[in-house]
Amino acid sequence: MPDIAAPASPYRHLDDNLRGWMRRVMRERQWSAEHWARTAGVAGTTITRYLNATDPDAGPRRRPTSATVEKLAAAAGVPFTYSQEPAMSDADLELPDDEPEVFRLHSALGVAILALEMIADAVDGRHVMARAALNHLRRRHPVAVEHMSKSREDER
Amino acid sequence: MTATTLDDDAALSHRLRGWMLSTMAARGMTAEQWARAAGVDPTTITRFLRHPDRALPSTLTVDKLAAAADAPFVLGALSAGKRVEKAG
Repeated sequence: MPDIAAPASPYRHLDDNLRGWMRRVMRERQWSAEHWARTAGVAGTTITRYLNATDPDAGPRRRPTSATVEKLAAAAGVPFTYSQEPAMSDADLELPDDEPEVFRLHSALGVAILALEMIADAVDGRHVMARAALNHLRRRHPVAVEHMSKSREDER
Repeated sequence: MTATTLDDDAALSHRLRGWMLSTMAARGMTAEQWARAAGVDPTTITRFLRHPDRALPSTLTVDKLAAAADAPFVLGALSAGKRVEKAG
């Protein structure tokens, strides 16, 4: 049995997004699942079977294909985006050059990065979740991560 | 399956293939590097790039690829709104 936390299931991330999108579309359009499916030209139970799948294994099996989601999105006029995550760009985090301390002390992202680096260091870099989160932040916010890493190096 | 459905599927394949190629070019990565980063089988990408007329990658695979490259792929973006009048 590994002593490290398993990463969150990607199924959950995708299914949460997809189901959330479906529910939002039906609410906004005031459509039933059957009406939407019929309008899109897909099987009437496509949406309900997926939304009602409570068994964790049933969700992935009943997940609609990209072609089906494309038809549903086109019928509703509401696009679905893969890998849709709320994210701030590095431009959102831009601060005046002469105020690095403000950035370091008050940025929630900066605090998160520091915490993750400390967790990763504390277990010799073996903490999978901390490392995965750091890698994710490095991809999305390379400037911020580089800045925080440099600040930590300076402090040492 | 109607002719319209085939056209729609072909258009989606074409768009997905274009997204993959442009993402790899923009990120400067090979199909294998991208697949490894996403945790999917490299042949998933290469097979689809060679034969986009065959099966599309699964929704989970596309989601993983989009997340790994930080390159969202949008479904229904081009045709959104076309059928809504018909439905309403």
